[in-house]
Amino acid sequence: MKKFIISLLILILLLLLSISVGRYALSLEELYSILIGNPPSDIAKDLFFQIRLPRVVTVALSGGVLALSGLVFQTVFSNPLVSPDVLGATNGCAVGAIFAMLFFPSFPLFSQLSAFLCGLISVIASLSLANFVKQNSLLGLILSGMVIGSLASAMLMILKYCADPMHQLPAIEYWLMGGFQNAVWDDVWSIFLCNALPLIFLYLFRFPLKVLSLGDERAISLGLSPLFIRRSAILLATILVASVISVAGMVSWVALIAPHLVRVCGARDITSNMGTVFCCGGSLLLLADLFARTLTTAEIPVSIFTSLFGASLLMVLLLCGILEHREVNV
Amino acid sequence: MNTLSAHKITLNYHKKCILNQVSLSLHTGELVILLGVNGAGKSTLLRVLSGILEPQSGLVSYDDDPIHPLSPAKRAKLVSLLHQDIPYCTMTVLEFVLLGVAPYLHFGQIPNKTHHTQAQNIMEQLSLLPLQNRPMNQLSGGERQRAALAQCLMTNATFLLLDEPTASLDVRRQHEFLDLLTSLVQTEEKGALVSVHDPNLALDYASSVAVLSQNQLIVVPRRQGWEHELEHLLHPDYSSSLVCSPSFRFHWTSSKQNVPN
Repeated sequence: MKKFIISLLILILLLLLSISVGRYALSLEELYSILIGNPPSDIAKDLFFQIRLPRVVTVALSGGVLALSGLVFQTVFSNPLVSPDVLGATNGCAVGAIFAMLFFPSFPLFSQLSAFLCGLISVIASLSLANFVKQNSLLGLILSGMVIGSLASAMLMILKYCADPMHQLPAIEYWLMGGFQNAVWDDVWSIFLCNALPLIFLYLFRFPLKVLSLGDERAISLGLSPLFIRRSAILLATILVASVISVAGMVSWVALIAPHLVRVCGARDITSNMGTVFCCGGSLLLLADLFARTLTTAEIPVSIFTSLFGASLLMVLLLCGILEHREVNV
Repeated sequence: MNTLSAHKITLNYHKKCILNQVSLSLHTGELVILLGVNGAGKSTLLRVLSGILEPQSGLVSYDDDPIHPLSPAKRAKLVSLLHQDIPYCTMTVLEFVLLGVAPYLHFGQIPNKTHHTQAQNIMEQLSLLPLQNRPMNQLSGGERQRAALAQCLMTNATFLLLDEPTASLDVRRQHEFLDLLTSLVQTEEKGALVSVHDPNLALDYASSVAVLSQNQLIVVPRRQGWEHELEHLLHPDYSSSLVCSPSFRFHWTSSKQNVPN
């Protein structure tokens, strides 16, 4: 509980900071007067309600749900180094989004929808392939994920190859690096609506997930059906990832690193710390987004910063030998 | 009295026969010890009896009801398996023991106060209470074994199947563990099937001994002269090096040296 409150406070602080910092700075007094309905100027009010607020809320929500999806994937695979890419979710989303960008450029909403659906379809394809193979369940699942992921990345390259190199290719590359510069209230609602139910279900699933972290056979002898739990959890977590990628493009590393940060901060049992993981992911992405939009006058893609953070954090953890002594506990 | 029975179980794994027409009855109030060399199929038999593995032919039933068609949750309330390897996880002992209520929880439920009290009572019985907030990966082998037993007891299953629970214990703790199990079987009306390697433990604690050898299972109940029956049964696997002394203890004799009686 203490960890959750601390992480929530950090998230709120970063939210306030992100709202006030920018090309047009808003001081805390201005923020306060806007919130009580007495804005200093119309520009400040519009900036707050139409630009900053939707953006920071989208970023915080996205970071949070990405971190949770990472947590779920790491738990169901009993492997702390797994991220949602393992079943081809991210590549699938990218194929969907880029397909829509190339062939239906005038419907931006369609690109979101198609990214979301393609992400889901690739994960469902991985699950069905694994079911068909009937190998050792976990290994079969990972290998099926590799197959589908590679198929999706092949399709991605074909699409890139077909794209017009002057106009479409730069847009595609930019999308692949992720960014929240276009975030509006509609994005907040779409992320919120897509994720409200999956989040509730995942929260209700926390005890079976904890049992599953002991391994399949143990889960069966404790009266659970590992196959059902694993598939449902993966599908729910995929909805989380796909909804974020469809809005913001590829955002790497947050899903992998946020659960680790919480573990390093001493959370023994990660499935009881879902709230903390959510806040931690939100804070990480807010920080990355803050750098992305304030470091230079131009917007820098957010994945550059999440990758930098992730890589440096992982390096620190490796150098300090922290990861070695923390056996797989998810 | 309840009975867990296996009727003519046959199981092949990768085209190799592991169990061939194996039958066994386990009643409540009984502690049956399962002997057999490495690879004889002890773990496989226990997994079949617990319902995790389905045999190619044969039937496992609880009081005449086949257990394999039951849902995992219903099965877990009848039969509980203590696995050979206990995970090195970072959850605390209390949390680990509490996972044992899983078969009783509905979707979205987590263990409540009653479950906590129940877990603490079991842990007190197994003298685990002082360790309840220690992470599992900081326990000794014996403590982890007791924690795993506590988790099995949490399921409140009638039959306990224990896969080499004494493997990582020193001699004193082996006896303590089996003493504990004997008292549980007698006081709580449970039945236990325990696989061990030391035939002397079988002589000390078993109400009957089941020997798994060459894919067949032979059950010897405790009676006058059963030591020699056992010796006879164990001979093929141990190439006559395991002999029973006049004081009814098994000794190992190798060709190089003779161990004094």
